[in-house]
Amino acid sequence: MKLIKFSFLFLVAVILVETVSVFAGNTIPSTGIVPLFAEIPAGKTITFSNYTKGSDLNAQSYQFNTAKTTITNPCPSCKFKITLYNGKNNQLGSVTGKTGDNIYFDSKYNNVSAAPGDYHISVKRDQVTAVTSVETGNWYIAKANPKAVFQN
Amino acid sequence: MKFKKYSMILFFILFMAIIYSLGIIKFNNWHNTMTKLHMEQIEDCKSRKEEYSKEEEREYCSKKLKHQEFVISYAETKKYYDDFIPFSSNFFIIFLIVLASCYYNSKYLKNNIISYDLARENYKKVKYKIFSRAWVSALVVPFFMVIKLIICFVLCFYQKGTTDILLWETTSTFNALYLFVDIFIALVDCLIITNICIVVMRKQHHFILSSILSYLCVIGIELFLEIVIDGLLINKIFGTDFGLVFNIITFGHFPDSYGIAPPLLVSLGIFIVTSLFVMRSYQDKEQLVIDCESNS
Repeated sequence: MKLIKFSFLFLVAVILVETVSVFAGNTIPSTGIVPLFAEIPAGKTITFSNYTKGSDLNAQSYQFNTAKTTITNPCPSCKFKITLYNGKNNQLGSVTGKTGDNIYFDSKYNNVSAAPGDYHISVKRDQVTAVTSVETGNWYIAKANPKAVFQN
Repeated sequence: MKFKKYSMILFFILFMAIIYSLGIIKFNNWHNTMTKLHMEQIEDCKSRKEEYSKEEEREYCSKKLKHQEFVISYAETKKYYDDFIPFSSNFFIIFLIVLASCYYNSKYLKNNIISYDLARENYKKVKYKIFSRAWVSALVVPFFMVIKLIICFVLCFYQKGTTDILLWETTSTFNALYLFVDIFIALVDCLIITNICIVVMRKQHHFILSSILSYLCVIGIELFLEIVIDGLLINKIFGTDFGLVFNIITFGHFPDSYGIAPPLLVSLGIFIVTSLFVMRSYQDKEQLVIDCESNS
């Protein structure tokens, strides 16, 4: 009985603990766009490593390309939250969108993401789900994205 | 006695109050950092005195100098405040709802207090007392969602950027109706979770075991909805991702891709089904009393 109790407790602890995976990758491609692939287990957030942005002064944006889950492929209505960080862990902005969306990290009133510096982003599923989700997209870090719109 | 009855719910409320307060502190720190960064960038632009090496620089600085104050709208305040609330994962909040629902009722059934109550009150009244004690814990999350809206309004007001609500920009995912439905779905989803707890407690009177079993049942039902209903039925047969609306754990972020009505109706439907299970499992008074007596 004790073994069953401890097994249950361990299972609950595994479900509750949020781990963060870090993927490598540091050089911005010459196109100024970083393609991203994130496989996100239930309740988890995937954090990518830093990219150093130069003095191009382009506002950063994110284009949601494809989305799927373990059981729904494709999943055009699955929403993901992409958060942009500056420096070590200073959150600059976040966008929430689904396949086909193209959104600036900045708001209409402040364009703080255009400045040079070290940036990284994290990806998580916006809706809470019990299955693994996969999101691919393009992070426009050092290139203008004329199709992007402001969120809120 | 009253305190003992609701001690786990009070703990839940206290926990929510603490994480919301920490969220305010983190939001303020973030706002100060962002204002500083914004001001530094403006100072940098001012120091160039209209001498720009590139056209991009001119464009960037003209934008910066146009909006010299760091302004955030109500929607953004809510978005960032949400991000800064620690331990606010739904998986964790569900566990707290389960603990709060199971705490007193499991002790009530395990210690056979129900037999003493039945000597003084009729079964219907006793039954609804059990249900209502569990349902109270379902009110905590929607209550704090309302508090969050008020906090965001105050933060918005306090941060001076938007002293009016004119920056309220109605979008498909941010308007008064959306926020109301969001809170209502959260309430219904929390009631579904408490209903699952009530059903589990009917058979399992041990607090820790009933809590863990209830939590696993909630995750199990969610997996059933996502894998069987969404994945195997709706996605494979109809080739659409409409099954996303079959979700009982995504309160606060309900899937609105197909509008607000489908997730609302699905949640209400699941609530009715779980309520029927609750009524059915507590239908037999004698069996319940026998089960409670067998504990001692």
